[in-house]
Amino acid sequence: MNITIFQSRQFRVFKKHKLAQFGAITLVFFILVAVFADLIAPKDPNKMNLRHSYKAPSSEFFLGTDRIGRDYFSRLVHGTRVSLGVGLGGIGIATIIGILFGGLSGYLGGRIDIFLLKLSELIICFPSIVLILMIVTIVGQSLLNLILIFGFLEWVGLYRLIRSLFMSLKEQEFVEALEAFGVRKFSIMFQHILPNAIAPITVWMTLTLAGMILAEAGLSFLGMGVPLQVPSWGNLLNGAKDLRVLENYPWIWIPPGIVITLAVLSINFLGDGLRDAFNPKS
Amino acid sequence: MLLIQKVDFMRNLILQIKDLKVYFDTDEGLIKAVDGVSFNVEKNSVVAIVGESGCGKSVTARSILQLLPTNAHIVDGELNFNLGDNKIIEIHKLDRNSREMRAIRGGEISIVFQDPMTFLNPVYTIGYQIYENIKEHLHYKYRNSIAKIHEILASVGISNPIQRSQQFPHELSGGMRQRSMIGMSLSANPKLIIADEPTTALDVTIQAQVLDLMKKIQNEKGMSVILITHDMGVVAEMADFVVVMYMGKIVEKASCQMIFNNPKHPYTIKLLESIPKLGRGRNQKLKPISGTTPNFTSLPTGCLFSPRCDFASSKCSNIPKEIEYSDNHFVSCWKYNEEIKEN
Amino acid sequence: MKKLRKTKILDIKNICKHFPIHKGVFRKVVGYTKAVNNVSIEIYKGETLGIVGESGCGKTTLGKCILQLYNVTSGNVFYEDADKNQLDILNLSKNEKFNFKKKIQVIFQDPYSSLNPSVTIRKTLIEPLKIHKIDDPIEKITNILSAVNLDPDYINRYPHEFSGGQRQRIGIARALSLDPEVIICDEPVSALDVSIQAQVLELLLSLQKERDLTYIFITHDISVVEYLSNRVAVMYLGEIVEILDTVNLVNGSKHPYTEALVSAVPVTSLKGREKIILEGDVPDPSDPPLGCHFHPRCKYAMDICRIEKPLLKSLSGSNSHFVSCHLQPS
Repeated sequence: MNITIFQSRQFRVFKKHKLAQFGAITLVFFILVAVFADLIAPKDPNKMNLRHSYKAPSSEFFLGTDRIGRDYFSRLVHGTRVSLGVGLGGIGIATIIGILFGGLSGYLGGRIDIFLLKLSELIICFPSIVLILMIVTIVGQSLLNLILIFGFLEWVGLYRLIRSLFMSLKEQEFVEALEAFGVRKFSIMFQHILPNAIAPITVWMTLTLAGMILAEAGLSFLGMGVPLQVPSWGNLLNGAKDLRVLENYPWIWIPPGIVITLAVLSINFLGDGLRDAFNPKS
Repeated sequence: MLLIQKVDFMRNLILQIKDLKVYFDTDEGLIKAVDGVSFNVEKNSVVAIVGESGCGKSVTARSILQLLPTNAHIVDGELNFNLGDNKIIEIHKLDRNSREMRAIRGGEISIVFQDPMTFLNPVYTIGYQIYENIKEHLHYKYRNSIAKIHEILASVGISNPIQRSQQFPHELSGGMRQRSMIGMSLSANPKLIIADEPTTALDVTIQAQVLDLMKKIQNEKGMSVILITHDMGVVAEMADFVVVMYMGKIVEKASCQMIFNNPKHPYTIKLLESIPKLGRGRNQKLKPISGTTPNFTSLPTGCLFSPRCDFASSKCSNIPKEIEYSDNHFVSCWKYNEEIKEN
Repeated sequence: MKKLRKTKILDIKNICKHFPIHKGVFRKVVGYTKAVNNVSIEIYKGETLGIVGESGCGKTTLGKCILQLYNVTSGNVFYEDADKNQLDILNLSKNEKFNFKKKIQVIFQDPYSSLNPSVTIRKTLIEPLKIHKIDDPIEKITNILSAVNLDPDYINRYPHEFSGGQRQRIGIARALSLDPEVIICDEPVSALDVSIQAQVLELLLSLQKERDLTYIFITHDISVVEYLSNRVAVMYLGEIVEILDTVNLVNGSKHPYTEALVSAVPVTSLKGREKIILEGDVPDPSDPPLGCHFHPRCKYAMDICRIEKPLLKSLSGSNSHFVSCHLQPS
């Protein structure tokens, strides 16, 4: 870019948005935790030891242990990797599908548009939780399955966004100029029109990421998300379904609760900040 | 000037703008959109403010009704409006959200905008939107308004007013929408109408209709009009008095005849020379004005037009003072200071 | 003005572009908007043909049909090269069509949307050269930018860093980059400030002289078209109502609409002329009046005008003036 990112108006607005900065820093923190999980929590998150069941936090077990004696701190740290991974994986798939379908629909129109639009409406019709639960029951629980399910269901939001953006952008004269030169349609769509949509795509990605993390937490809490032995934030909460646990063992449910809240909030703040930064009217 | 003195001075004027300064606070700095603009609008006359984009003509007009964005402020100057009965309203002293200001807007002074599609509410019928104005300013009840609405629509040349008043803006053509907006602005019998590029978005045959209508109404009702435009042809057809603006300042003001027959400011002269004139075809040489308008954040010192002026001299590094070149013909240019001194 | 040699370069024959009107839940086709209806005209090498008309007349649609940005409903456009070989450009194979794009190019109206805001000027200008495999694209771009009086050093800037007039010149540079023979100018100065218009018009004229370009100049601005063009075609509701030499535009037009159009222009010159104010609005192109489309607004309308549509015929004693009006003798 000719004007460096740091001089641009967008960065200036972003800098004024304290919450967004907080969000960005927190997200980076979580990503680092996920990447360096093994260094931060060297204890094996899956090592059971029934003699250490429900031990309170101590210098040996920073966040205590769960019902079957696994180190809770370690499970929380490694759970970051899983929860973020599901979110990022799902976002990745949804983004690719959303952009591809949205572009084809918006730019080409016609039968493709009608077909894809109906497909998206079909998916939207179903309450997403019900749909996910149904699919998980059918295909079984696994990390990959969850990523794929999220990806294949969440693209709809981005699809509609891209579709309407492409529909309006294709009327712009620079697109007509490209057509007049004989540039191929695919090239026009993804090399020339798409860069104009980076802003809303980025905002959508951040906000949907928050949604996916929350969704994973909810599903795993119900026991329908990530397989129970794999540590994830939701799975950790699953261990707190008992009233006895809630009353007596607060380290089981408070840390994951805080962490999920923090993660989702910070991503939302970041998304808000990005949206304001990209909005020319702010 | 004391209010008493102003009443006397303004006997034949409907509006006096004195040394108006409107500045905008932006990310890039302070923009002096209007920087010391003064002119008078006489009763029953049409004053055209002409200039290119960025010259401040629209901001000047909107500041009369204090219809400015929140980052714009009237920093200095006077806007004196003659309400009649020896009453002068000092608009610059009113708060933009005050009851007095709202009473003036659409009541004593109304405005017609360029694009009726964006300035008419698409979800209300034309009739309802006119009703809103008469309710606000004339305090009519709904059942009495219906006849008045039809009367207004008919007066602006809309056939089938009964049917049209029930229609929505998108059901009307561009010309009819503009006429509706003119009707709306006339509904409370204002003394002054501000028309901001009222025909720029219209087809040329429709433009002719609308301009014809505006002239007719202005004559019949004895109103004054401030007409904002960039089209010198429209100025020639409509205006009694012309104010030429450049980069926030007035460079020349004179009667319509004088501006076209005897323009004095280099910008006015060059502007007229750069426009293709119908009837001459290829037998004319268009002389573009060299250079481009400067950025508001990096204005030249002295006369703002001097970088592009053929007659620029060392004197032009000072801001020129406005002088009266001849009867009611004012120019802001160092070239004429000498001529006046000599005479 | 030098006498124009009349070598045909384009022959536009019976172009129709009808847009279907969809109504109802199942989007049934209930009718057609005849945006361009049976338009035929010859275009000569090196001339500027002005196409004027108001909104809905079809002039922009016609331009897009020639550029093949729209697929015509029917009709042909024939291109004639130096050896008098005719090419039916609307019915070419994919490859031939691609190669032919070099010959006819376009300049658009809006300097703000005609350049991709998220890429540099360099990328915008290089794209056509890249796909048509032109050698030394950077050198070519440098030359073209100089030809439109822009500093080639600005090549890495983004569109928003330029003024409206400069962007329009970049658009002109882009149109020239493949060395076309015909350029369709779709309202190229309408969105510019009055003083910048003159710059761009002068530029277009000088480029035409240097490169022997043929312009199809689409505009609604009569004064501009009178200044720039050799001949003018007047369109109303999708049809050409008159074709004449520009010198006759102000005082020698024969169609009532042309007369009204010229008379409606507010001018600083031409004092003391009578203004014709048309009644009514420009009709809806999807539901035009029967017979002659113009008859409801025409002050000379006769009975036959309500029933029968007049044909575009040449005026007796002239081979360059065509009118479609029942007032003219056959």
